[in-house]
Amino acid sequence: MRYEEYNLEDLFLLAKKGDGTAFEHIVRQTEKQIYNLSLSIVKSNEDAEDLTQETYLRLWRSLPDYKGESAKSYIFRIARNLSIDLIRKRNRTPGSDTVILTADGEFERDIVDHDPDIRPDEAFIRRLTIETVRECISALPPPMRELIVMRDIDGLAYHEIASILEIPEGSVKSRLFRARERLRALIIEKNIL
Amino acid sequence: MSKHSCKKYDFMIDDYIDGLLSDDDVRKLEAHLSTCEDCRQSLRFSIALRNMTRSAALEFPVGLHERIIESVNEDKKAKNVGSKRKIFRLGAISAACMLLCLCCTAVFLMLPGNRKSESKLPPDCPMSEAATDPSAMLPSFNGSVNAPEKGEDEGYTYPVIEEPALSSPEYDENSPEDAAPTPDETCAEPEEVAPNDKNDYEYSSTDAPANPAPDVMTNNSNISDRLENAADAEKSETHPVASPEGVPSARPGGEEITLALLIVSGLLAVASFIAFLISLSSIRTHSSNKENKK
Repeated sequence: MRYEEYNLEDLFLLAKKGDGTAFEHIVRQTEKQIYNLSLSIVKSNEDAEDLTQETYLRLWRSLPDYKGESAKSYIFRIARNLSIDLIRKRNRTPGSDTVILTADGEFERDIVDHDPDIRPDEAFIRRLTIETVRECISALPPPMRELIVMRDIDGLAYHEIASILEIPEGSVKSRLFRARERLRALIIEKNIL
Repeated sequence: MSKHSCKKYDFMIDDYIDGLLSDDDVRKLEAHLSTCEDCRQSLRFSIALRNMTRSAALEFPVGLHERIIESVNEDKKAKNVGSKRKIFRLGAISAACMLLCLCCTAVFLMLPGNRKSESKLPPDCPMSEAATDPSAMLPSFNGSVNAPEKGEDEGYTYPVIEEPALSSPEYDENSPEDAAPTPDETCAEPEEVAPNDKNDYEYSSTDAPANPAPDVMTNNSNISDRLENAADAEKSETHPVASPEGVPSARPGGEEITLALLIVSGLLAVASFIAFLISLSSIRTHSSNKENKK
């Protein structure tokens, strides 16, 4: 069986036994997603590269402890924890509005919904550019940015995100909805202004 | 359509785009979309935004993949070196424990109480039993005491006391079980005491008239004392002191410490040697797996 035919969990188990080629395939399959996630949290290309490297080192060292759970959640959790640790160490406050999660997981600040009367028309949609979308994603609070990246850019399933963030799946859906609403509002504000 | 009712459908649009709605909800939403232009516009915007977001991911940095693989390989090498050092350390500890074990064994065996004794008497000699029990050496006196005879000197003459026949089987006719050992048993006889030689008595001529007749029982007790002393002298050379039943023999403290050290070092040697073998076999298995893959 070729390595391309193995799923991620099987590759993890092979790498756990010391198979270096299996580990290389793991890196190849997940490196972009890990980089995007790290970048979404730390907002720095250099830091995101270092964090991506550190994530795979940490994965290699912790493979003996892997017990067959969701491989994607396993590696994303490592990347996320490393990124958050880096932010805490460097006392960074990404963006001007640091959103702090309360004990029950809700955002402390109220999300400013866009004016529901303003609906984007076709012309508006045509004016949208990828750069605008990137800027607006970058301007989101970190928890929202993280969710948008994991779901809409990296394509993780709800249950995988729930496992990484250690929150219920329902909470993932509701937070993601609020994050998308916030992004939509930012884009509309940017385009109107 | 009121904004309040549209808000309900706003929540369903994202799941509709992701294909996560149930058939029933899809029917409801599509029914609403067919009547609400605002919601249809909102759906189009959400689809465009989703597509753009997916494309908004930055390019993966060039060379990062190679750097990741290189850092992991370096970590593997460092781990292997560490494993070899660990094996070497385990081997050294194992050898040191074994050496300590051997030294303790040697010290333990060299201690005075533990040296093997060489008995002067053959093992089947009853006298060797008697060495631990001096009373066994004492013959039961059944001899006769002759009445004093007139000797050369006028006056009191010392009675001739027959030497107890230790070797004579006829000697003990009353209690055969107390018979002294026979010459056939080829035993070295203990030091003989010849009570019939009057020069052996400590006799002072000035005390002659007052000399009482020697007491036969006293003489016998002298004999038994001498035998006892001889037995003690021999025993102290060859046998440990026979301790009464139930009383543990006194050992010097050094032996106990040495024995404890011996046991501990032996256990440590075994444990560290097993760990050394396990580490060695795991390294060999890992190396052979690598070679097979190549």
